[in-house]
Amino acid sequence: MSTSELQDRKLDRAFDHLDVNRDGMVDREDLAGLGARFLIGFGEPPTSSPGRTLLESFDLVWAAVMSRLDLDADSRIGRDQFRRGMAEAFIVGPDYEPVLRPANQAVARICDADADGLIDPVAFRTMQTAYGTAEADIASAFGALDADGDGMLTVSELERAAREFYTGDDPRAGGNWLFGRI
Amino acid sequence: MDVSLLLPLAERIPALVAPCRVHERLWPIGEESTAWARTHGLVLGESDSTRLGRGRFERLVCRLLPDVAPARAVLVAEWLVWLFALDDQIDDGGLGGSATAVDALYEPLILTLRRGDARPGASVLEASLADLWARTAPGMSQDWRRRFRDHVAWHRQGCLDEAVARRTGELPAPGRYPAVRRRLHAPFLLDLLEPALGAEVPAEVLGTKTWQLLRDGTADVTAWCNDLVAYTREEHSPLNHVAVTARQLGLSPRTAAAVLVHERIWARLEDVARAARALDGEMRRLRLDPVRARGVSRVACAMLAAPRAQLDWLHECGRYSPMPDPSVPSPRRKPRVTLT
Repeated sequence: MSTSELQDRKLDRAFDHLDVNRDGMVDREDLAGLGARFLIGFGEPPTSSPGRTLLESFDLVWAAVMSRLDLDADSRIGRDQFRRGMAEAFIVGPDYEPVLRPANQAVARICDADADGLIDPVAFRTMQTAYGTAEADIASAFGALDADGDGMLTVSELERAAREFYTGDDPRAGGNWLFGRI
Repeated sequence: MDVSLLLPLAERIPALVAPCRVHERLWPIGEESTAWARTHGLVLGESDSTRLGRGRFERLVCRLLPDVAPARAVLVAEWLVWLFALDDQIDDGGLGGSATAVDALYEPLILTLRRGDARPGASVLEASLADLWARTAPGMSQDWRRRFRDHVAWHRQGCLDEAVARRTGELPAPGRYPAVRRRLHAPFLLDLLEPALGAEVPAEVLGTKTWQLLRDGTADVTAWCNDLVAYTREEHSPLNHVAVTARQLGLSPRTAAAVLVHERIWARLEDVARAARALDGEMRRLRLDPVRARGVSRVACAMLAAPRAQLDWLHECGRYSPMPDPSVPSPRRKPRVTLT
């Protein structure tokens, strides 16, 4: 199974979201760290309904990747293994709909705190800060995803962008810009 | 009192409606920590025949720390066994009414932490404390170690305050009560989240009012919930919040419990939620780098999980239920499994 150079670059960015200490390895605790940073960004406790849903969905993402690599959930993996596990689970394999999509929905649900279906620039910035996106990339990402230029993203726009980012191979897709320039 | 009195908190407060995720190695973590407690002589005989053995502290730890390496969860569970063993020795060993006796029990423990090992002929509590400290301190900064030792000293002071209150019948003034009660609630326990999560909260975060509110609020909620479950008409700490509220307001214990749950714990949970919402802004203001921000977030998340974790643990542990009839065999336990 092979992925395109564009997909590899995006999966590398996803790896960097977890590998904040830049030691070239990630494990389940790194994903838990991202989940915790995201929840604290929004002041959401892990024992609220959206908080628990998010953390559980992250657990399932990790389990799906490790399962594709035939590794124990406690294992640490490097960049190449991460790429392969993500690709086999979510690009080639059938796990996007049942596993990664719910995780992206859980993220969007917390960004849309008042449940009006809209994500404002402040919430978008909070989300991006949790993922470790550079300041310059946050503004360019928002601009690229806000197709109608009304200064707001819809939840469905964010979900579509996430799908394009994690699985897509179309260099013209707006979702490639989800975390700024690739 | 019945733990069900606390259920409205879990049902009606959005921050508590979802149960914690539980560490997938719950059983082996429990087995390992129980084995440690036996090896060090803290639990003797059948586990279910003692209050300490019925604590099932791994059920609390596995809710607070569902993602950590099993060995780190085991270590925190062992700290809880040790703390409650100390508590039981004070309460059940007839020391509770004598500040002098409590101080004599505690002084060698403080020295053990300072020296880093137990003296020859050390008590069970000293020897097990030395073992815990030797496995906890490595990798942690001198600042963290100092903070931990300071909080152990606060706990000693809390135990002394309790002994004095038990002997004299005098209670702290209402304005001072929460801080006095917090000292008795083993403030060093929250410090253990950091080595367990492999993160240290930076001094600049520790110094913010937001962090202090998060930390003190979490400690208060868990202490007060514990007080409600631990209260019995015949036997309770003079600093038990139900007893103190009943006395201060001239209420029956049942009504005092309702005031405690529906007013005080509720309000304190709102304080904690306010601190959680403010923490991201503090981290940005302090310009924490991503590594430190994630570490702080993980510790904060564990604290935010603590109230719900404790509610569910209080439901499941046997520490606050009547002791079982020794003539009735204990329920069959899961087969022994080990961490691999």
